[in-house]
Amino acid sequence: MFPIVLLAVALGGVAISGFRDRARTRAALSYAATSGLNLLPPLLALAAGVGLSMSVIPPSAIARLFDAHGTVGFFLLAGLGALLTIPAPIAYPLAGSLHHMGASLPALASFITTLTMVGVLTSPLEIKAFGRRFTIIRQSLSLILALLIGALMGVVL
Amino acid sequence: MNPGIRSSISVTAVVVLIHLALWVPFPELAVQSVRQWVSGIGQVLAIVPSVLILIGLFDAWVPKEVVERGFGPRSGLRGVLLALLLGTGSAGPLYAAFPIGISLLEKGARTANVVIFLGAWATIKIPMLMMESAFLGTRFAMLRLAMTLPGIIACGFAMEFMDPRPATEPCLVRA
Repeated sequence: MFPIVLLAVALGGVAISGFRDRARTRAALSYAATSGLNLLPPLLALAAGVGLSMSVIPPSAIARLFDAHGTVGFFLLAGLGALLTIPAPIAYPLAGSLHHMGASLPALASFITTLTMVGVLTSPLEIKAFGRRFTIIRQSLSLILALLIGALMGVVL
Repeated sequence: MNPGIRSSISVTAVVVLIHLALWVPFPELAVQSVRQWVSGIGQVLAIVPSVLILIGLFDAWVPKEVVERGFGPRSGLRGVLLALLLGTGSAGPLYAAFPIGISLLEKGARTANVVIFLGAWATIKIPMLMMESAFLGTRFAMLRLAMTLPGIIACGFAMEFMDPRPATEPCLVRA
C-alpha cells in the first residue's frame, strides 16, 4: 500500500512540476536517475547479503540459538543485531519468539535498537553517502546507545 | 557505459557465481537465498525510485534558505523537532533515508539534525511501535521509545561535536 501511495505522490509531483517549469523538472528527473544508478550496485549487494544471511541463519534458528540468559545472551543479541539488518516486520516477530524462548527483555531492547540503527551490512552504502568517518562515529554512538538502553531497561523492568 | 550500470552488472555476476557455487552442495539453500535476494530487490524498487524522484523535486524547487532556516545552525529546538517529525513520518528502510540526509546537508542543515533524522527514521516509526507493542508488550515499547528519543538527540549533538562537517559524497547525488 505504502509504495503505491509514494509512487502516486512522486508522479503527481512530477506532473505539477512539469506543468510549471519544464527545465527544472528535467533537472529533477536526471538527478533522480543518476543517483539511482549510483545507488543500484550497493543496493544489489545489500539485498544479496541480507538474503543469504537470512537463508543461512533462518529466524527460527536464531531464536533457538539465542535463548541464552544473562550477560552472554545480552552481548550476543546486541552483536547479532549490529551485524544484521533485518526488515522491521520480521524483526519484531523474531524478538517476540526470542522472548518466548527465554531471552530477557533488556537484551531484546538492545537487540532491536542495534538491529534497526546499526548495520554492518548497510555500512558500505552509508560510507558511500556520508564518508567513512561519519559512518563509523554514527554506528559506534548508536551501538553505545543500544547497550545503554538495554542496561537501563534492566534497571527499570 | 555508465559506471553505475557497469558495477551493477559485476555485482549481479558475483552474486550469481556465489549462488552457483553454493548450489552444488546446498541446492535448497541457494534457491531460497536467490528468492530472498529477488524479493529484497523488489522491495527496494518499490520504494527507492519514488523517493529519489521526490528528492529530485525537492532539490529543484526548495531554496537553500528554507532548509537552512528549518534545519540549519540557528534552527534550535524547532530544527530538532522538525528532524524528528520528518524521520518518524516516513516509511521505508534506513538506506532510503541516506539520499535525503545528503540533500539536507548540502542545503545547509546542521549535522545534529541530519543524524537525529536518520535515528528517528531507523527506530521510531508509529506503525512499527504498534507492532513492537503487539509482540513485546506496550510497556516495553513505550519504555524503549522514552529512552531512544533522548538518546537519538544526544547522538546527534555528539556526532556534530566530533564531525561537524561530514564530507557528503556529491557523486552519489550529481555524478
